[in-house]
Amino acid sequence: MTDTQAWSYFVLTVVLALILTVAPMPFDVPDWLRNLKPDWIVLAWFFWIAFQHERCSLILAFVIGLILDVLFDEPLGLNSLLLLVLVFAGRLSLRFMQSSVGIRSSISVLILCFLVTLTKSLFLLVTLDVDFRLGSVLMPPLATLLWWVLFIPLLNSEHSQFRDSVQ
Amino acid sequence: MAFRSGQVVQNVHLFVALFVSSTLLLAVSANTRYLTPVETFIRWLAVPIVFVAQLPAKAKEATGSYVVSMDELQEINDQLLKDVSRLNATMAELNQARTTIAELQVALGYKLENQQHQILAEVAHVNPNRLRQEVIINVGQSHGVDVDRGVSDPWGVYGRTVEVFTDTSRVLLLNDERHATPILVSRTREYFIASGNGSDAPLTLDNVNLSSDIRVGDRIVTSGLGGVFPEGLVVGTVTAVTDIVSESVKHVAISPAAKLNAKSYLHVITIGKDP
Repeated sequence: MTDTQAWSYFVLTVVLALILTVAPMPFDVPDWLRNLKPDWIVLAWFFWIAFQHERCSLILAFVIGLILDVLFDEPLGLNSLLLLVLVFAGRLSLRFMQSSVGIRSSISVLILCFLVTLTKSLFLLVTLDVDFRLGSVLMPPLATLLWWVLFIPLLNSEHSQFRDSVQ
Repeated sequence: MAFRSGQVVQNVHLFVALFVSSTLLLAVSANTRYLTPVETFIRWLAVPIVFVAQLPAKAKEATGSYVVSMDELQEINDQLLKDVSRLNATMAELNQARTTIAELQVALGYKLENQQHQILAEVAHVNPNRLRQEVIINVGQSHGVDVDRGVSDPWGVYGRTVEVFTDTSRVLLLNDERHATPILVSRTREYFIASGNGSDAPLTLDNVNLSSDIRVGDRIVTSGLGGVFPEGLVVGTVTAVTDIVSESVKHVAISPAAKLNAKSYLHVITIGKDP
């Protein structure tokens, strides 16, 4: 796989995550199922941070964040700020967890995904001045965690093969 | 995973620059409207994403509309014929009432200034943000819609327009935490403000005194104050009343009459001018 192909995969997954984030749930879907929608953007970015971190462009994170701000009707700069911190802190934390604590990448990503989504939920509640509800805070991180657990077997099998093919 | 230590350092400057930019954007957009043109441009850029994201829902809707059995069609047709017959009878009554009102207005020398008109609309997009209860409808400035117009569905008050574009408008739903509706309790004629509390919570009434006679089952309608909604539109029904003696108030929960999570036709209400 060429470098260009790897880049196109990266952009494709990020755009796909954006589409899944924006895609409306059918009106007849029950609330509990509606709550299981994960934070696709966090999932996609953490996948690339964990396995091809050099592709995680800060500029793209900034632009995607601005698009999310507009689509979510949130103040311009809010999601771009969150995504920037997510990408930067994600890289540093993963490096620290791998080198100092020795945790495998999939597990450390699992922990980070949960923490980042939880922080994001709390930050949004405070910034948007919405009443605190445990469900609003906990459901996005839990749903993201669940989806990441579903991804792990796939990632573990594909990761080394994919990385080798790119390098 | 092979992290090169220099690589992170190289990106620090870019990170700081973008972080500062985001913070500045956030500060400006949260407090002013200077960035509205930028938002409009980004919204335009995101149109293809929204279009692709809506394809599955549109496909489902199209399939649902075209693939129905003959029996189902017959059933729908029968129901529609019954509805037309019932509505014709109601229309005749309304016309009679309208004539009486016109005669009374002439007799009393009263002129009704705020005529009410309705613009038919459909939901074009639902805001995916869990903390926001908003939809985009398919009518805008070109159809005569303004900001702060009431929106209703066939069952009751749905929300209000908060931003209007050329062909679309953003509608804040009744249950959004930023939405407040001036209301009237039909039975007692008491005026209150009904506030939204998010998708999974009922509406609540603000500052209800302990001496208020509000009861479970009371019908809540719009009071007409504020000029967004005409008087008498159904908002919902009181489902719970709890005395909070320590604060000398009653906590009143209201179940909205409008089907906020269902797809249906909406009406944008314009008061005082033709669309």
